[in-house]
Amino acid sequence: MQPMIAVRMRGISKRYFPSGIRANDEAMLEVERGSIHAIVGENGAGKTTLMKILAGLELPDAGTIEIEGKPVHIQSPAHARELGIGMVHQHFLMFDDLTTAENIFFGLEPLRVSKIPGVLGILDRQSLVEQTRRIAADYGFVLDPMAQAGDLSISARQQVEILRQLARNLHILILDEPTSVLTEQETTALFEKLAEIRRMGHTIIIVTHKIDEVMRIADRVTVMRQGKTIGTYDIAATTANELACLIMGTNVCEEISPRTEPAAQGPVVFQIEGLRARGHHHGETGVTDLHFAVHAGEVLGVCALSGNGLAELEDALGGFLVPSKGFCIFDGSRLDIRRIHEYRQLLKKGAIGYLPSDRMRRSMALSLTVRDNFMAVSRTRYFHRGWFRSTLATRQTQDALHSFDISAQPEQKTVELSGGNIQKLAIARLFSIQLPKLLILCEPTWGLDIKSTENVHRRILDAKAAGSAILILSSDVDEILALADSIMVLYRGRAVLLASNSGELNRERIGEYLLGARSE
Amino acid sequence: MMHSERELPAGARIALAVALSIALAAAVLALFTKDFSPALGQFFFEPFANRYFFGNYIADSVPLMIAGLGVLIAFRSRNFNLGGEGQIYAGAIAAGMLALSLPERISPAEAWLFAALAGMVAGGLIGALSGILKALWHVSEMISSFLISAIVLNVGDYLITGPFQDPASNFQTTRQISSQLLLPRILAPSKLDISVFIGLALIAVLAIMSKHTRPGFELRVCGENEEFARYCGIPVALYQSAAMAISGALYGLAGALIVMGPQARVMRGFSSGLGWSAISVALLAQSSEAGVLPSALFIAYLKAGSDHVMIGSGVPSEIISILQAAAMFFITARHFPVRKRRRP
Repeated sequence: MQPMIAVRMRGISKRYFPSGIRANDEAMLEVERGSIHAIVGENGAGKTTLMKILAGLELPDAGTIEIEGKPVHIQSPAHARELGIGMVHQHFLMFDDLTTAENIFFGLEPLRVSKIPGVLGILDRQSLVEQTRRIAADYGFVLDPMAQAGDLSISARQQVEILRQLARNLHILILDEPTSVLTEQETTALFEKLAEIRRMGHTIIIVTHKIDEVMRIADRVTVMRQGKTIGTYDIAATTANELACLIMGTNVCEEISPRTEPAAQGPVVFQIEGLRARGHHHGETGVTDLHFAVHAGEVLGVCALSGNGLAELEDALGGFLVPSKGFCIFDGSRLDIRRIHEYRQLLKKGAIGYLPSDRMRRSMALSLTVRDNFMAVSRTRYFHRGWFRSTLATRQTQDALHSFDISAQPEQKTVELSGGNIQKLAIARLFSIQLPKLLILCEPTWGLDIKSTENVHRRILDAKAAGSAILILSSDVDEILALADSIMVLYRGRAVLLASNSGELNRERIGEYLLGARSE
Repeated sequence: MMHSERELPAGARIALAVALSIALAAAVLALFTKDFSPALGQFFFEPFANRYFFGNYIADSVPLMIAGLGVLIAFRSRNFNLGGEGQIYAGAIAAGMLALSLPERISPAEAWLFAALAGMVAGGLIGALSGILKALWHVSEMISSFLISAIVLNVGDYLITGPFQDPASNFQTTRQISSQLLLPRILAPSKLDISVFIGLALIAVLAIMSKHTRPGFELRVCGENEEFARYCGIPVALYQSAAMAISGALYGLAGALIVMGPQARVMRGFSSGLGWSAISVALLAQSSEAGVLPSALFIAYLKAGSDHVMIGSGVPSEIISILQAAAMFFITARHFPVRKRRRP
């Protein structure tokens, strides 16, 4: 007997206005019921758009959709839920002030019949908690029903999101980049749960660009490129390398470039002593008592889970947060880092290059043109006696767009660019001026596809070879392992690990430090 | 539904707002006048009918140009200057008091210059106050500028009707400014004077500064995204305070030029509503300095047309106010419902 097809999408096209970009171009998808189906592709390949159409968040311009063999026109997220389709977004949508149980059963709360006439019913807390325990146990999740959602870890929040879909009897689950925020251990745990959910007959669609995870968990995989479906393959009959080739559309597909040999380390360029900074949110620790040094020609990778001080470290080093204590020694001169104006001069003069993790707000003004964003940081060069040299600015923007392979025009509004291209523009801006002595790169490749990631990694290693000191702040352990000469792990604002990246450190080991299970 | 509304391109939106305002004006005339076609003529054509009407119409557009630029500069830095009423008044009173106390032998050109500077300083200081309050203590500039304006208006009323009241007049006004110190008229017998050239020059200068100079660029970056501006090392607080100060100074200049031109004195409440009309001018101009010129001409045209209908056909002034409010409403609407695209 043929396996039943849970989802069949044909000839799906979607064009976004006003840019006219075709996010989907006659895309196709067939997902077997009770399977884990991965959708892979580069940034802007149209994976997320296709899934938004399936979840009723976007309406297609053309194409047909069949759910369990029945043709449907999915009009809205509510309609998609009626059809049994639910989506867990990359950025979780939940009520931080409600409990786990309330978040899972939101809108479906068990009610007790009220004794007061005219009043419909009151929340039955007891049964709410019991139901939560039951559904969590059914799928092998461990959650405290009474915990406040805002206090949960990222992976626990994700579990709440998944359970919320399951509580609504949604049997087609879409997960958008589910592992991008998880540690190795958490990813393994998530995959075990997904396998359990599959065993119970549900269909799972995972959108991702991590090929190794596809090989680990998926039954079948659909490759997308430039809005089109390239093909669907059985995992058993394909290899990681083949998939990488299909995704990139090239015949030669290198693995991510390996770390260069540790360059002959130069003198210390940047040193931090006793840095302390308050947490962004009330009750968060910020960073406490940090000491580290970066040499010329060295990459120091700093890794932490969210809420453990990485954001505060970024803001302190980027000049956005006045630390409460600490000294910084830059190029031999010692500076009280609380004197933020003096520290900011280093950034302003271009001695320190800083790539923010927040692309949408800090590193770009989306409403400005690509050229304006490109020239804003080193703008003095584009004004001659205060007068704007527009040809020069346009030409240099064009050169940078070309050399970083960014498909955009200088006069285009930046908001029309894909997230990946915006990041590439930010990196192009950093590398197109004279190489700074210190580079502070925060989540440099978050959300970038394989080809762009590789390109960025090569630039970083080139800068290192040219003698820059490089500090990478990243939640991506693989990236840190691939690039860094030394690794620092923050847990609750303190450095629990600061060691050279020798063969002894691997994902699992670093995962233990990240979770605070291990400390030096 | 999700996509039933779509933001129209700016040009189409403005054209639609202008067309709707004009259509509404015609509809109001059809409803409230006994004789439709002469009223239509009074509204649409009388402002151009002769030198006198045309000159007055253009003269009314000059303060709108200058004050509209003031609002626009504040917009550029993402600040909303709602204190225009008070800043115009302050500029007018400062200019008026200065002109009244100038020695006899001073040349007219010097008088114009000093009066204009006095108006700009008065308005600019008041505007800067809101900017500084925001930079230092995060006081919303909308609220502070509005409240400060309310105080300034009352202080101004006191000055005009108290120490500076013209004892020889039955009106609440200061003494008249010596006629040789006033701005020379052009296009007599209308009230149009050479301040129109100041308005046009300011539009040109600010348009060029905004597009071609570094301060213009940096101000734009501050306005579009404060955090990004900080990342670029632009002194955001300085730009925000400066933009509010310039905004106030332009308002003050608008007031000063009215006093040194058509009014020749400071009358109580003479500028009432001008600050708000300037906001419509800036909104209509779609944050383009050059766009201030057609916008000011359009808003002044609505007012001139309405005045002619009011006098010629006896339409009550309340109806005219409704019409102007509705025009403002069309201009500020960012979304117009667009027919939902049919699903395939």
